Amino acid sequence: MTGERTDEDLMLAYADGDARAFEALYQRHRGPLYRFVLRGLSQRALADECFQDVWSRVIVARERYRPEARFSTWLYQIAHNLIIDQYRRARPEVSASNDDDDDAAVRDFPDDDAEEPERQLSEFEERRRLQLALDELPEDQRLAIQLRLEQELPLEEIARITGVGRETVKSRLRYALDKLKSRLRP
Amino acid sequence: MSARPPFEPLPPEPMESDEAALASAYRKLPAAEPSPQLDARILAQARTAVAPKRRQRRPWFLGAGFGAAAAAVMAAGVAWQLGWIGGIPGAVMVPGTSQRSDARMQTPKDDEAPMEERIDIEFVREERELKPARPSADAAAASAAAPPPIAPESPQLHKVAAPPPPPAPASAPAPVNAAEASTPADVAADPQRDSTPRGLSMPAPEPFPAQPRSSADQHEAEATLGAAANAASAQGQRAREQDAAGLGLEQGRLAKQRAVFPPWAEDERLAPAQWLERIRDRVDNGDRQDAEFSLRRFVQVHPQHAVPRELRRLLVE
Repeated sequence: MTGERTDEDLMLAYADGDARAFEALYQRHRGPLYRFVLRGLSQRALADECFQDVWSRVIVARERYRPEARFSTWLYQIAHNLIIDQYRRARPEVSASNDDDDDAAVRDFPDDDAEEPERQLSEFEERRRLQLALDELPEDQRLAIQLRLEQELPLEEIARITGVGRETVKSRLRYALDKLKSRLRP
Repeated sequence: MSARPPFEPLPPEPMESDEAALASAYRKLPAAEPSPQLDARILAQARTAVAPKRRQRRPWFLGAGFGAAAAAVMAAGVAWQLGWIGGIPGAVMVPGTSQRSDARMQTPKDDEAPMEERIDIEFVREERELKPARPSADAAAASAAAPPPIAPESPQLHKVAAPPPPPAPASAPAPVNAAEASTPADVAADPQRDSTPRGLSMPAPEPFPAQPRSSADQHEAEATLGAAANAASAQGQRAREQDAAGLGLEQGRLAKQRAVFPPWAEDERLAPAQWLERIRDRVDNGDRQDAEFSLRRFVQVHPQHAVPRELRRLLVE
């Protein structure tokens, strides 16, 4: 029955002591949230830590949770803030060169010289370029475009998550899209 | 728990064609997922958080019943002492302690006045030091079980109160064993001792954590008065004091630990950095439960603030 319940219902149930509700909530968000964090931080170890921290805060704050906004907005707000905090604390580490081994989890593409059919090579190349282009974006633009492309969130919600105005989000998305398109152009 | 949330769901915002193309490419990126171990850790933390709390992580909290019983026995001991002072015959003899109490009585070899001073020292110090360690319910039970309370306002206590300033802690506590320096032969040599009411120097049983300290203080008082009465024993007393120095320091550290930190709820008044430092201090001092409470409160108050790695385990436990 928990599969039909909204995120907010599940979170309230968890706050009331229903551990199964949390499991349902977690299953629903673990993948997208993890990818958001991993692509935001580019290093699996950091992403694991941050991901766990996000859920820890959800757990700790369960009794204060009020469904005044979407649960996912709250969840991604926490993740966004932690990622930004990580940027500030360890900027050199996070923006390390693309040769970093840890980045393999994110850019797990075969080498260019691998013997693949031409079509597949083209697709791999496209994804590789996209990942590199995402990595090159400024943090605020990257996080905004991730929320838009992966979650397909409306601008208003991205604005709530990132703590800026709707127009700012719109501007960031526009800049990010332009850069990505130019980078992906053959 | 299926009330609809009060917020207005935002309408979906369709993507433009260039966005849609990029989104399609974005979804083809490797779909990383958290590891099973990471999943397990988080789910375990979630379950633990809502599991029925098993109280008492610290072993000596587990002994609340023991503490209550010990407090009651202590109160009985105090009552016995006061009863002896007031001319009331002593109560029940505690087996196995007579020799020890006799030994203590032998040490000063004093007249009545120093005895009264010694009693007073014991009461004052015990009252001060046991107060934080004894639950109020236990105290109520103890006072119900023992009519002469050890509270300072007790008239009987005032009657004998002529408190000399307590000795400085550095020169203070004689070791527990020092009081038992008197041998069984000494005890047997003076048959009158056995007829002496035991209540006076009978070590009052105390709650478990406070016992060593209280015993040391009692001996401290005895040793001090003994030294005043007999200068020749001063050297031996110094030796006992040195032996007890370690114990005294440890007790001082514990007392400081209790005294230094305010209740964890007050940590909230601190700036985030200072708050985290306070939590670390609590951990360093072994006060893990308050550290955990404080950290959980910290995360609630500052959800945007990163928790240092070394403190995160408090949230997981």
